[in-house]
Amino acid sequence: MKGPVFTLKGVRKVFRTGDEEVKALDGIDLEIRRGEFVAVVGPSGSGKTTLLNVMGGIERPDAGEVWFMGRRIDTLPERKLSDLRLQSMGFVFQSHNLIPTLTAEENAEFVLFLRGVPAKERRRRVREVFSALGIENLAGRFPSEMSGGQQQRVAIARAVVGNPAVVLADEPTANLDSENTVAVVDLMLRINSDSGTTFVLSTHDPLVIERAKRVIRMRDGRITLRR
Amino acid sequence: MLLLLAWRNLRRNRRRTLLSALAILLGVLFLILTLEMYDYLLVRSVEESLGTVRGHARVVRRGYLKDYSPTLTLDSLPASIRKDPEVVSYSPRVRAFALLSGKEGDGGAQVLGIAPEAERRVSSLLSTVKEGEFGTLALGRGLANLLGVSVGDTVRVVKMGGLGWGMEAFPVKGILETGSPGQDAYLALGKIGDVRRMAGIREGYHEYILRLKHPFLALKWKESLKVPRGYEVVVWQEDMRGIWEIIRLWWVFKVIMAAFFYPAVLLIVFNTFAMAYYERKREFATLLAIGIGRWRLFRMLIYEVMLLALTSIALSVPLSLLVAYLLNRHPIDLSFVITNVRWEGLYISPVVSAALNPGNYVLSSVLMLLGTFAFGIAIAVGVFRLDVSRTLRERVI
Amino acid sequence: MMWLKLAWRNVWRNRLRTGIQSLLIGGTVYVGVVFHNLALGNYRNMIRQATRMGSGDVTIYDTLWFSTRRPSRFYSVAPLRKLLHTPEVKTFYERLYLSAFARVDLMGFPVNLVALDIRKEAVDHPILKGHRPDKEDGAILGRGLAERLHVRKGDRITLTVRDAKGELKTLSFTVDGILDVPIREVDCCSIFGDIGYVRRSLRYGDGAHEVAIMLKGESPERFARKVNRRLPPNLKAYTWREAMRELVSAIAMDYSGLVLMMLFLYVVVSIGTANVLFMSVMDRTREFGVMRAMGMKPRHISLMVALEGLFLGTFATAVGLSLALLTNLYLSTRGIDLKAIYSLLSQEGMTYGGVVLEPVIRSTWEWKGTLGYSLFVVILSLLASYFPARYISGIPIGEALRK
Repeated sequence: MKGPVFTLKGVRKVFRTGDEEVKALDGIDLEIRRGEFVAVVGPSGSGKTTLLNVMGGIERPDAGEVWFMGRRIDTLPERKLSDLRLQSMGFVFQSHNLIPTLTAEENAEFVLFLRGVPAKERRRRVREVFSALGIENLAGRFPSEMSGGQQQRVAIARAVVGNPAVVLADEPTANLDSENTVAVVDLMLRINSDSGTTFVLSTHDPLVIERAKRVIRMRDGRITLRR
Repeated sequence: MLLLLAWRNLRRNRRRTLLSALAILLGVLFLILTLEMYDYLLVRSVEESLGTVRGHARVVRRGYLKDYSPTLTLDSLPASIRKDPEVVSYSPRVRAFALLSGKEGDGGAQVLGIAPEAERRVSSLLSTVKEGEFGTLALGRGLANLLGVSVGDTVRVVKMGGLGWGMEAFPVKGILETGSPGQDAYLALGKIGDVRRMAGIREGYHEYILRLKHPFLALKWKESLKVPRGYEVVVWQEDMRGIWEIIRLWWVFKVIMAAFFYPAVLLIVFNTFAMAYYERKREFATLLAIGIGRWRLFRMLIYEVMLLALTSIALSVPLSLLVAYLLNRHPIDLSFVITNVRWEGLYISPVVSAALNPGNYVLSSVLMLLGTFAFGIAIAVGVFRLDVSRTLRERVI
Repeated sequence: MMWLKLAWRNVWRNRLRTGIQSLLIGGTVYVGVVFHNLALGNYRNMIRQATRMGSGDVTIYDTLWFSTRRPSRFYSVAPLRKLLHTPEVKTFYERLYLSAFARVDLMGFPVNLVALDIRKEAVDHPILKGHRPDKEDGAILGRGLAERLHVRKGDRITLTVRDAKGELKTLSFTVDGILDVPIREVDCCSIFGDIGYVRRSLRYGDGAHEVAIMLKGESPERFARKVNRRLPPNLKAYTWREAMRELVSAIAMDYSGLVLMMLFLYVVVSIGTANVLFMSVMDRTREFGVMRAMGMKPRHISLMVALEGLFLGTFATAVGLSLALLTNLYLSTRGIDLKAIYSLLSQEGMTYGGVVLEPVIRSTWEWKGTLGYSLFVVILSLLASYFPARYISGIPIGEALRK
């Protein structure tokens, strides 16, 4: 049995807008193991994005514990969290994922640049990943010159180029048509099976859900179903 | 309703609005204070100059000012001038040009014979006596230094008189400081009788100095004045033509100053509004789609610009007034670092203060309003060209 | 390199916004550089005129004469002549300043008699240029004085004046030239005569009140220091800055106007740049959120915004400076002709700080100020990025991603 990548114990997160309180996460207990391909599903406002953000150290929970690779991360200072995300996590968002002023290749290279990888090495690895994902033809294009599906493929390439332990993808196919959705999910599945990278993605797209190896259903900040 | 909407729109992006408002506020503040300071320098220098030696106007025998011939005297001030309602007061003077000889050296001087009582009503010349008292002779500080004399010493006066030149000794009664070193090196005062002797005349005066109600309208007054035959009236503007022309064209200078200060501010306002416009293009298209007219939308945008300008100006004007008032009450005298400077015969003292001229506030505010209005129009006309259906289809970046 | 590329491209993402701000920054540099060089060109002209007419680059005075102008404080020039025969000295002028009473028939006026080597000074003296009296008793005077005394060229003027021993003497001159000078003190009251003639007639020997030294290019301060070490205690070499304090003040007063304006423009540029950078970072809040999620640290974000400010400032400054230098090239060769404005204000010519202003102003090339005005704008643009950078790097990532 592979060890856990994420362990969440009694995680709560409340957002306040004026007098109103929204329980985004309401006592979440969850364990995700290495190499899993997990889909977090549920309607809008069910807490999917917040769950991913808490896992990624983007938001801190109000209560509970978040463990990543055997290390408690919800109490880590911001600087260490940044390092952790840089070294061990990859992110894919729903839209406006890419830095518009950098080309596809430069976008992917940017993560390695932040890690301090030398320029030559950066370019070699980016080319490698682009060719593995079959998107070499997009290398020199700016985001504004690519379709939504192409942009998401580049975003995935950027997320995995640094060999992270986990990729957190927040509704990565929300703006894509069926054909592109299938292509993007298959790409993630291929990386998952080839390199063992753990994928946690939020979605409400049936095409994604039926391909996921594990599904966690959420409603009102609680996990209602684990499959 | 449109005004309310405009006001709320301004509050939507407060930081941006505040920075633009700050730029307008500072622009108006800087311009007002600069104009106030320049006004003070110019007006004060002119007033000081007129208040001592020069006077607002003088009446002389025709031809006297050409060569200062001592024999061209007048007895009394013609009634038509004396009774003119514009004339506040007048005082007779006698003038002699002489070489004064002291313990250490000689110096040329213009000696003015004055009648103290009348002179006090016309000028502050007597209050410039800083040491000793008025009498024959009271010497300018620079002149006394040159001659090497002080109060109580004797000065010999080489002068023209009767049929030729002669010499006469006078005691030094006082030392005066008019505020302009050049003048102090050349000026001496004395009693009328003594100065008449220096000038070689027995009676009469060389000129009458007038104090007018409205010195800056002296030229106009002169035009309407009936000057008796044989007399000549010279107003200060004719004596100081260069300075008067500068004063007359002062408003041009002010507009030029605004032309330097305001474009920078207006560019910021333009930039902010252009950005606000592009960000809200989709919103405008929606408003147009639901039936708000283009003209109404245009008006709303203009209201926004003008509200911003008016609010900033409304804050800037009292602030400028406060600073100007403080400067006016507590002028900063820089004479310990810089000396007086001559400008077209006028002595400008290095004093930083403000004139409190309402015109500066009006001019600065109106020009800023006009500027923002023009720039506002340049942006707002965009609504007349806005393609509603295309804008609604566009992806908002 | 990646930071630079990213910052440069970000600056140009909104071309209109960047363009307008560049116009403001570039315009400020342009105004600063052009007006600085133009003002300095004008001041140099004023200084040149004043030093040739009055004090020279360096002048030697008796210290008491300098403060009182007493004619008795003259000094012998012979020991100085040797001292002044050095390679730094282009030429020097000896002058006597005496108060006299000028008489013609029954008209009499006190005058300043300026005794100098007219033939030598006529070469580049701003008022005496071209006047070379034939006789040694030839005098040149202002039109105002000539009218007061009713004299024309060729007439005789008698001066009553004290000689070197303190006795009153009479000295006659023949009017050789009448000057049209807008400087009132010269017009009404000065007579220029030959120093040799005056010295002989008034027993001044080789005496002078003023030795005005024109230097070849040496710093007046350094030269004055050098000369002062070798002068007797009653004499002192004054630089033109010390000798003509009114001119120095006039320049300071005039230049303070430009400084005031530049100060204002700098404040406005800073506000404008901060405004543009604020707009720019707020538009990209989500993008910064994505970058932070990827592992970018707040200091990286600050660095990027600072670089954007720096690029904006540098680019606009480069454009503004280039245009300013082109304008300066034109202004330094052709100049601006203000004759029309001056003649509107004063028919005789404008005077300021005791100097007649030249109607054609030519700018100069003063690099310290030129680079100073430009660099300062770049630094301000960088500083203006501080608040936007702090603001955007301080937004929590989750909040930024929700925008």
